[in-house]
Order: sequence, then structure tokens, then C-alpha cells
Amino acid sequence: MASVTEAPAVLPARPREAGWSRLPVWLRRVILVAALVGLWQAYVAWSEFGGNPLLFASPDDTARAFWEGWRDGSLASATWQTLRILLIGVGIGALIGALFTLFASLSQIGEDILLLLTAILNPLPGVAVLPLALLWFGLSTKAIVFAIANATIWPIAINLTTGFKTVNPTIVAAGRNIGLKGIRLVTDVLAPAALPSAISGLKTAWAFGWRTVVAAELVFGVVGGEGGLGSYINNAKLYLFTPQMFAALLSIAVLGIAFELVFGVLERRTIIRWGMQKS
Amino acid sequence: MKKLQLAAVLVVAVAAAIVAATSAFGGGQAAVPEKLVIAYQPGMGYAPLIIMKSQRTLEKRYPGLQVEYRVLPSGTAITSGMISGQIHVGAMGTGPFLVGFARGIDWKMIAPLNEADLWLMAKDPNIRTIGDLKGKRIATPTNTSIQAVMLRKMAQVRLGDSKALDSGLIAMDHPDAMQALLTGQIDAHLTSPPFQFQEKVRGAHVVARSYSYFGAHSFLGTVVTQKFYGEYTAFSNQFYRDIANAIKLIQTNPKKVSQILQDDAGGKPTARQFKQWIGNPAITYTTRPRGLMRTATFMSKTGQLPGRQPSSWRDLVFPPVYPTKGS
Repeated sequence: MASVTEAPAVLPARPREAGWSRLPVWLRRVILVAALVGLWQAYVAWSEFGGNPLLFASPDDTARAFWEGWRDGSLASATWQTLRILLIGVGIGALIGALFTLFASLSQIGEDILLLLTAILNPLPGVAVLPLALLWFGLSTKAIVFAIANATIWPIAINLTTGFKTVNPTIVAAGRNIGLKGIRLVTDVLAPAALPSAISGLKTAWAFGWRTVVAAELVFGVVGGEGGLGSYINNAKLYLFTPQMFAALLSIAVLGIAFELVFGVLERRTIIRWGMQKS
Repeated sequence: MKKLQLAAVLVVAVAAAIVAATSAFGGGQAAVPEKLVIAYQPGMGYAPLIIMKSQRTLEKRYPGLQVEYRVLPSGTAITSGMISGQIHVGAMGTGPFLVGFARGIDWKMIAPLNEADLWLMAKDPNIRTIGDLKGKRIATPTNTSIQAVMLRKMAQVRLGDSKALDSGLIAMDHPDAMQALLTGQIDAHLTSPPFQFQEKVRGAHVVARSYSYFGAHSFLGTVVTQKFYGEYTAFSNQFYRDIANAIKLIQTNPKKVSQILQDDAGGKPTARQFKQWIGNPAITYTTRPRGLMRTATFMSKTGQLPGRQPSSWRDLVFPPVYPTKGS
């Protein structure tokens, strides 16, 4: 009889599906995207709801609106406006989150305060904070930056704290051994070791911030001058430019893929190269 | 004898079939919908509809009809509902109505509700002219509202460029914008009755009036799609008459109407306030549309009306409105 500590038997290898999994990755993706677009076109052509141009845009109308929007700069400036606010918000949020974590790792009371604040403020969706922010900061981008900061501080603080806590104790002991303590221990040992958690915290914060900024513009209209992507979508809705709405959503999707790639490059250059995370 | 009987039966059968078939066609014209959804926005401008709702005009005339009156926050919400077929009669401003028409929604006004002078209100005593508003924050309901159109007309006349004030435009609904104006968060509010009256009483002053720049013009109207009108022509024509009767009631018995409006609003504002507002010359209830073509032409020239252009005011309304000799 096998003992309970014996490793479980290795599962038999899954038989490879004939054909599909032998194709290269890029071809599989291209075929799936093409099939999706085909379904979309079929829906527009054959369904009553899909065929109403005011309700649903066809793939070629969307492609045309996408091309025109980027060519004449309207989508480009809207995207840049949204990204600008997002970068400022996430930047502030990351800074404050890191400072909080530093304070928490250096003292017990810091950790208690951080846990309490996180428990209360992390569950608040970014958009829920916005009406209050508009009251406090008036109708300006400051209000949106505040909402984004709130949405990003806590994920970053949580991830960094977890990162600090799960650092290999051998490394920490080695650091203590050579005389590092206090803040130097944090900056030279804990912080680099917590880099995988920091990056994953940044990814989460970016995602939350992105959702918050587009939703804020949609719900509260143009706040503070130039409009971002949310206002672009809202404006398209006002004038019933349905292809432009679809094109803006497509832009957001493409941007999301671009960010994934950027984060991937960041990870490959740092934590994967240093062996801290498998690719 | 048998052959004759057979022939007679055949003739009767064919005649009966013809009668049944033609009555099926003819019945469609006189039919009444089973369920009717009427959507409007908050405000005293929709008083004729509120009167019909409180007096149960439609429920009494068509006993089997299920009528639902819905209050929605904006003309664009009502537009979405009408495109998807969930709302049958929509009440909105002329701005969103014209934009929908241009973008290909096959709809027209079945009964205009009123014309109103829309005032640009500001609280800061330093803001006295349109020129003072450059770079300042101005609230209108949405970018396609009739208020935004009027603001662009004012900008064009005074500043030479209809888009001169666009960078400061903020979309806010009337109650929020009134609050924001009075607390200083925004600098100006192009609004409509009764908000402009309330703001005037609470310390704001009038910077400009839309009538000075545009002449008298329509403000709100009820809209149905061509499909609805074609299917329920008699019902729609009667609806026009119902609105006209409600408007006559406003003119002949404002005391009763203000009581109806107070009850519908839940007690605040009071009937006395409503009576004052109804009597104010800035708003006149009428089924005659005014300035529809002028508005459409202006919107077209400034790029606010992309798509199908109306060639005459009659393109924008259904037959019962023709005799009013609107414009």
C-alpha cells in the first residue's frame, strides 16, 4: 500500500488534438479572430437587431470609423488624454502605496494602520468615490486623479506587503548578517526581492485605474476641458454614431493588448531574467 | 337543385372570405396598441403629459389599453428607448429630436408641447455679457440639447464663432447644474423654466435670453416613429387632440393645472409656485411648432446635424400638426 507521503502518480500525457495544436501560435490566433469577425458580419447581415445601423455596427463600418478616428486625430487625442490622467493617477497611487508599505514594514503601528485603511477603502469602486471627489475638488481632472489614486493605492500596498512578507527568510537573514537593518534592509533586500509582487500589484492597479478613468468620463461627461475616451464614446452616443462607439471600444481593446505586451517585456527584462518568476 | 344549392353555398363562402380579408386590412388602421409606453423628462414643460397622466385620459378612452408613463433623465435615454422599440411616445427637446431625425431615425413630432425662452444664468456679478464667458464653465443638459444649440448661436452672434465657448461646456442635468451654479462650482447655466426662475430668485442674474438671438422657438414636443403612426394612425391623431385639450386646460384653468403639477411633484414645488411659473411669459404651451427649420438650418451650418436634412417644417411633423401653420 502506498504511503500518503508518496508523490501522486504522474497523469498520462493528454493526447494531442489532431491538427489544431500542431499549427503555430500566430496562425491559431489569426484563424480564431477571423472566425469571430465572420460571425460578427453574419449577425449584422442576418439578424434584425444586428442589422439596425443605429444599434449595431458592422465590421467594415467599425474598421472604417477606427481608421478615420486615428487618422484625423480624434481617437488619438482622446486616448492620450485618458492615458495622461491615468499615468498621473497611477503614479501618485503607486508612490503613496509604496510609502505606506515602507511605513508598515518598519513599524507595527504602520502595519495596523495600513491593514485598517486597506480593509475600508479597497472595496470602494473607483467610480463610487467620484461624486464625493467632484464635490471636494470641483469639476476638474483632479477629481478623477483622486478616484484613480484611491483605486490604485490599496492594490499596490497589498501586493507590496505580501511581497515583503514572503521574501525568502534566508535572504533576509543574510542581509541582517552583513549588518543591514531598518530602512537599508528594506531598500536593498526586501524591495528587490518583492519585485514580482510589485509588478503584479502594478498590473492590478493599472487595470483598476483604466476602468475607473473611462467609467468616470462616461458617467460624468467632460470634466476639465479636453475629453478622453469615455467622452469620445459618450459623444458618439449623443450623435448616434454607432460605428464610432464600436471603434472606441476596439481602441480600448487594442490598448489593453498593448499594455499586456509592455508588462510582458518589463517582466522578461527583470524578474524572469533574474529567475524570480517562470516565464 | 343540388347544383344550385352548391353554387349558393360557394358564393356565400367566397363573399364571407372577402369580407373577412378586407376587414382584417381595414381593422389595422383603427387599431389601438395593446401597451403604450410614454416617456418624458422631469420638468414643468411636460405639463400637458402630466395632465393626461393624472386625468387618465388615455385609460378612460381606451379601456383595454395598458398605459405606462415613464420619467427618464435625458433626451438621449428616451432616444435609445425609442430606437429599440421599448418606448412608443417620447417627449424631448427639439435638439435631440433633430439629431435623431438627421441620423436616420424615422420619426416626427406628433404634438409639439411648448415654446420657451431659455435663459443663460450666471451668479458672479462680473459676468455680464457673452464675451465674459470665454473660458468659463457653462452647464447645459447635453451637447446636443436645444440649450447647447442656443449657446452656440449666442457665441456665433457675439463672438463670431459658434464653437468659441465649446471648451467650457459641461453636461449636467438641470437640478445638478442649478446646485452647482448657486454654489459657485460652475460659472453659467443655460437652462429652461422653471430652473431659470428658481435661479433668478436665488441670486443669479440673466446674461442672455435665447429669444433675443433666435426669435420665439419651440422647446419640447412629443415624438413617435413613422412605423407607429402608420400602424396606429387614428390613435395618433387622437393623441394630438388630447395634447391640444390638455394645453387648453392650462390656458383656461391654470389653478387646477398647478394643483395637478404639485400633486405629481409630491408637494414641492407648491401649486402657487407652479401657477406663477405657468403664467410667466417665458413659456407658452402650444401645439404650433416654431423655428424648427431655423434651428435645423443653424445646427446644420455649424456641423451639429450630421446626416439627413429636413427640407421643410412639414417633414418634421405628422399631419395633425399641419393646420397650425408652424415653421
